[in-house]
Amino acid sequence: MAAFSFQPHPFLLDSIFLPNTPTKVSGFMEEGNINSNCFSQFYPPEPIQESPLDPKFHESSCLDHSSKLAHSDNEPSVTKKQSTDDSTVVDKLESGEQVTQNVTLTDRKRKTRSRTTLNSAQSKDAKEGKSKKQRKRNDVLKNEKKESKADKKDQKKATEEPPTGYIHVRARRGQATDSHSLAERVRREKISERMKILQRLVPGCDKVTGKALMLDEIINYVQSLQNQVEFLSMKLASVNPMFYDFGVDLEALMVRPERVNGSIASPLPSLQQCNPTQPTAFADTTTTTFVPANNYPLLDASAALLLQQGQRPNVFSQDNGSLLWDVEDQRQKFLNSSGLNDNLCCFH
Amino acid sequence: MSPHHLNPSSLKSRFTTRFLRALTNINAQNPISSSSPREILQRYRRIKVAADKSMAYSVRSRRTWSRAMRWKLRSRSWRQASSVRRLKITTTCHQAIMKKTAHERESKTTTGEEVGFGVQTDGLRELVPGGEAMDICNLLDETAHYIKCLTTQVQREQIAS
Repeated sequence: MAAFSFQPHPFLLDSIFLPNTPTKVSGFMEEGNINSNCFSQFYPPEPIQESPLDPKFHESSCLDHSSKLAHSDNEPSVTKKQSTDDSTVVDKLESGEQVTQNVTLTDRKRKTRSRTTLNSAQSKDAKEGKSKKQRKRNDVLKNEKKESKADKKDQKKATEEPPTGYIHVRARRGQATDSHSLAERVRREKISERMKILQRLVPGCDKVTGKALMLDEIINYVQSLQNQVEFLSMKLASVNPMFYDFGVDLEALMVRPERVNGSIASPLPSLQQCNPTQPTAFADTTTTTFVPANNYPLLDASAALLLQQGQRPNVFSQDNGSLLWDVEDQRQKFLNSSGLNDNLCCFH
Repeated sequence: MSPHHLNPSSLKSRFTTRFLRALTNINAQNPISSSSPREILQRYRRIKVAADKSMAYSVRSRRTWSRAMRWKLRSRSWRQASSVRRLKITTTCHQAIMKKTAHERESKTTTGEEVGFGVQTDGLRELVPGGEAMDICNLLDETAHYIKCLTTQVQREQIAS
């Protein structure tokens, strides 16, 4: 009777395990079992990955089998622990499926455990084959997108919690191949993430599909940049040396942001003169703009001040100017409204 | 994003300070007397080195590529101005490192071919300083940062020239 009531449990795990698992996991967590803690890393992302649109299903099925594997791994330990503890724990943990279980269930549980592992192994194999086929069938672009999407979440998890945790657990369980594939997936996902970053950096790279072409584009871009640097240094070498005068150069630097120079110059010097610790007091609003001012290796006071006044506006008006401008405006408002400016001057 | 991503404004300003200082130094040390191509070439080399140096030092050895570039520049300046003994040391160091990197690269390219862009990554390795010893993940990461810095450099030089 008891065995019969327990029997559906493994199948539940294999077939419909999704809706059930989260609650169970929380139960395990309450138990404070280390193993369950380790594999609970897998669970939170699972509903998230399953819930979004259909097209992502291929990849998430792959993820599923890994999490399932984790489950089947951890099941034994949990049951063992349960058997050593009294039955109330069991009741608390699996309140949905089992109504009353006794401590005498241990060997039956062992049996079912072996069955669960078998089941999961079989289904794992089947699913793996399936997912592989599906993967092959998919075209490259789709595959890439899905992978990076699904894996990004996974990696976020991994970075939040110690990433070595789950991989090492895998390896210890004697599933070397799977851990390999897992590590490989993490690596691939890292690569695709970096590629995305690069895609954002390199102009015209977002139109190209395929990693190889993208890399070609990146190489071309880097080469062109290096050539440009060479060309510009050549130009600098050949132009009139009078141009290198500090004043002239600074004027050249200040040509662009002249319209805002007046408004910025007023709060800046006072801030730069005060203690380095004072800006950090309200650094939460202005971190991006403030750090450079303090990090400066000061050559000599006047020159540095000149430079800062000349450069900082210029820096802000560069490519990511809009964001920085916003921060700058905010800061100015903040300064002006709260009268911090005067305070800082007083401090000084 | 992550802590090792530099604040772009600070990087830019640091680079500009260094570069301007280097330019004025170059200008002060040997002002242009003639516009002979040889002299221009010499100046060009110095400016190029100054630009590279200021870029590498403004990153402050937090990045692999900047460390590699600094190492390169330092060994180069050593070679220019040092005794034979020092030169020997650097060359042996260099050989050892090259051996190591070649070995590492062998193991790395096998994994690179799995992904399907072994040839391209090799091309990238040559471009990014210190890229010989990196695996693909780091290589792409460093490339991204390197591109950022290069664009900064180009912008600054455009403004300065």
